[in-house]
Amino acid sequence: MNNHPLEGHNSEHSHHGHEMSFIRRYIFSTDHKIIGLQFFFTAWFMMIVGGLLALLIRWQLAYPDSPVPLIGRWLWPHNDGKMTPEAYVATVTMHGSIMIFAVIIPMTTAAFGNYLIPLQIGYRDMAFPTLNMLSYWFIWPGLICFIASYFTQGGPSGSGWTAYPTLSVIQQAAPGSGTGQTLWYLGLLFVGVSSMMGSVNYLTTIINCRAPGMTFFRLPMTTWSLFVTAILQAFALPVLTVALIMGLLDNLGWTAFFVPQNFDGNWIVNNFTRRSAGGQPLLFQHLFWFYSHPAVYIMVLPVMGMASDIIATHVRKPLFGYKPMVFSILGIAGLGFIVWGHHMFVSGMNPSLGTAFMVATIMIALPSSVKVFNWIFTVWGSKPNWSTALLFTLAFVAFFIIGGLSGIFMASTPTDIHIHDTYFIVAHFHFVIMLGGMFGLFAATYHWFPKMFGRKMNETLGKLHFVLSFLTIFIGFYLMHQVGLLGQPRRYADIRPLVDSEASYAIMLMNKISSHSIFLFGAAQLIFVFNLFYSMFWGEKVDKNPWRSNTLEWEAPSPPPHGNFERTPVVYRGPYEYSHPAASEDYLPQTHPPLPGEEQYAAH
Amino acid sequence: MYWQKILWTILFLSVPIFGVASFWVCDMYGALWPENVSEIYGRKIDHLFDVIMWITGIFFVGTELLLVYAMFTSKDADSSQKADFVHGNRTMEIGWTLMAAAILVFIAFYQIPTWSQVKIEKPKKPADAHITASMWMWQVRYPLWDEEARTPRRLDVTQPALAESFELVNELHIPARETVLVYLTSRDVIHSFFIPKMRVKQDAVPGLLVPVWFDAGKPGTYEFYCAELCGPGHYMMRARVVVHESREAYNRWLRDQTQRLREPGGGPEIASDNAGDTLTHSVAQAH
Repeated sequence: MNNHPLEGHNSEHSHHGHEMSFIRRYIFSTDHKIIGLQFFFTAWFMMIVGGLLALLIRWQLAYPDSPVPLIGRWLWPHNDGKMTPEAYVATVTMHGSIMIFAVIIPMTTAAFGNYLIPLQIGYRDMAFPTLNMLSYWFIWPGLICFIASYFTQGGPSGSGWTAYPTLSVIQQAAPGSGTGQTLWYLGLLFVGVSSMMGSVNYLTTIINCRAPGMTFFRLPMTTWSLFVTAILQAFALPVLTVALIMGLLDNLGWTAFFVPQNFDGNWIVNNFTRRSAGGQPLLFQHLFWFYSHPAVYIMVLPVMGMASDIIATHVRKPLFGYKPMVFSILGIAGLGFIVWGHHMFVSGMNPSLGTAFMVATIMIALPSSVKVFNWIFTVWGSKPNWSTALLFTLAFVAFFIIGGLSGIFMASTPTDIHIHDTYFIVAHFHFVIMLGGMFGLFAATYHWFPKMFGRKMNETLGKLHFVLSFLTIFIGFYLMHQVGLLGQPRRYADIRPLVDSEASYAIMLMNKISSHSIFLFGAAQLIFVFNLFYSMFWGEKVDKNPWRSNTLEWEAPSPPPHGNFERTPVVYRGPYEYSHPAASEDYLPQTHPPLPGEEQYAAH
Repeated sequence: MYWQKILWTILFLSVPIFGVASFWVCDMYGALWPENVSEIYGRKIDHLFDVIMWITGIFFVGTELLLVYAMFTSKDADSSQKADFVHGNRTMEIGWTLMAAAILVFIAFYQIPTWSQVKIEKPKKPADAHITASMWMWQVRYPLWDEEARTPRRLDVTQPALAESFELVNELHIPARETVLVYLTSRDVIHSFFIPKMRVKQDAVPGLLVPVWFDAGKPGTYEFYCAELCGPGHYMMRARVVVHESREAYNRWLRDQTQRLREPGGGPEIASDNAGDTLTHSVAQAH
């Protein structure tokens, strides 16, 4: 009991729940599960918003000359219902910003992180419940800023989710660089504050609140990855915050951190003159990528952790190489801090620096490949139950392999020259974050849904959702590699004038195939949305441990009450003792008292 | 459950099959690579591309097949057997870590000489042109032809708009079969200078003057365009590279342009020759 310092409050806390008003219980709740679900639904909602923006982008790429169906005539009446270039760059910007900062990061770290950490370490709540509540409510000002920017003059920011100065800091540079851009900076600042509150909370909780017997090397991979992710966030986020504040002050015209010395003392942008100053646009890129490259791992590491848990549970076999998996997460996180320059190989940064960043970046493929091999060998000789959660996780592995390998092309400085800012890189990061990350999140949703709602999601609908999503998204994004190699640049509102190239026909054809595949993918998600809400109310009721899993969250009732556990769980072993020869069942929960003769099978 | 295993195995098998087949079909129809007209630099980059493509291609197919094989040989969910009780294998872990490390170190160090050649070891020659990117065009400044010395005049890249030069918009003329050196800057926001067929890309950053060098082996007209988001007109920022047959042909072109300038009225394709206009500026030297 000694390593559970906050133990004393446990029993007193659990009967609190009954006296709370509806608002304290479900809206301004300090319960980590309610907060997790709030993040869960907010992020899925923003996913729909970001996804619809993606469909708009794909429409424009496939049919730049045709009016957008249904909404075009209403949104762009002055342009015959066709999307304007201003609207296109704004759509690209908001799609990226929303998907990264309002969907994937809240979903991985905040939704599943909040829900799972206390349950997996055997504690009643987060270490700082009120801070946790604030971390949810701080994303709303951010989301409101994003949404409000659609109603400003000039529309939302059109400088990409990367917001490179000087496009983003000179208000007159483009329609979206005015109020829309100011709101973008503010929105990101709020979302960042929310992430920081979460990260401090996770670190404190995981370090201090583990159940008796829950040593660090008995933590499930999900908790391990969320722990490392929280460290990444705690160290990288301040740098982004600094960059955003500097950008915001520049954008408001009060400072000139990123506005360089240039041209006879004055700046002429879009016929607007501004005094020039001694700033440096590349400084923003350095600060931005110092956060935003680790942000890729903030998005994907929790998914890797959840994938490890889901695979081991559903193939009924111990995770292959638990410690190498932990060390490779640490390796990815550590290297993640020294590779930001690979976004800047052709930025005008000193090219000698590029050599160093290249070597570091290529080496990050090493821990990633260790993880892939370990997942594959977890499946080797296993007994899979072929549930939807398992299929989505295996698809995550299959797609992550592609995303990881295509990264080597970008990491290699000379080849990056050609593919930088083309569709090849769009394919690459979507394979990692969208096909990898989102598929991992689908898997996590199918896997932990019974814990959240006490009911299972429908497996038949789930498999239909899986097959349709798998084929459409794979074809849709894979062809972007080819069009990227052919030279199709990113963020072009109309790619056709490229068409004096010999391959123009192929480029247009592949764009059309991509777009239609992604439209079908969008349609397939209706199955998922239906399944989610249908199963919440009418799904098959299940007991507290429907997957026969070992980890602590499955010891709590489904859904867990306020305070989670009736009794503080005591942990006797690691999380992956599936198909243990000494056990009668094919699983051996972490809380099960030691079996006779168990020691001889102990993991080395 | 057996049919499920077969079904999912086949579905996952589609990943390596479609992955390789779609590249192969595209290659067959010439829709994988833009033609490479560069003989010195671009060829080396393409070689590196091939090396990485083969290594990653083999690993892609290998690991995907390994995954599919592991799925295919897994135990049937209906069977009475338990899954193997294995926690890992230290020899295998060390083995694949060392293998991956060796291959990755090779890839990394194999790139370095080409990178140095393409971006670090600036050729020792006078600048052929100075490019100012702005929303949404490329202003290319060339040195005037010096009839007495029979060479182009020296182009002062820190003050390119002096009287020794003339300017064309959206047209970059270069000689074939030699290294061309241009200096790149931007007047307003960040742009990026991208010639796909010569495998060149370099951002044009306001406040920086960045040298770029490349070559074209084959005379002709090629496209170059902006590759960094620079506002709503980003997609319109396209231009042409005109590759002259030889240095002599290029010099003849420079001389013609210079002579036309001297004529009253000037040449039609020359956009401006006003020394001291808004283009006159001093630019911080990047290197």
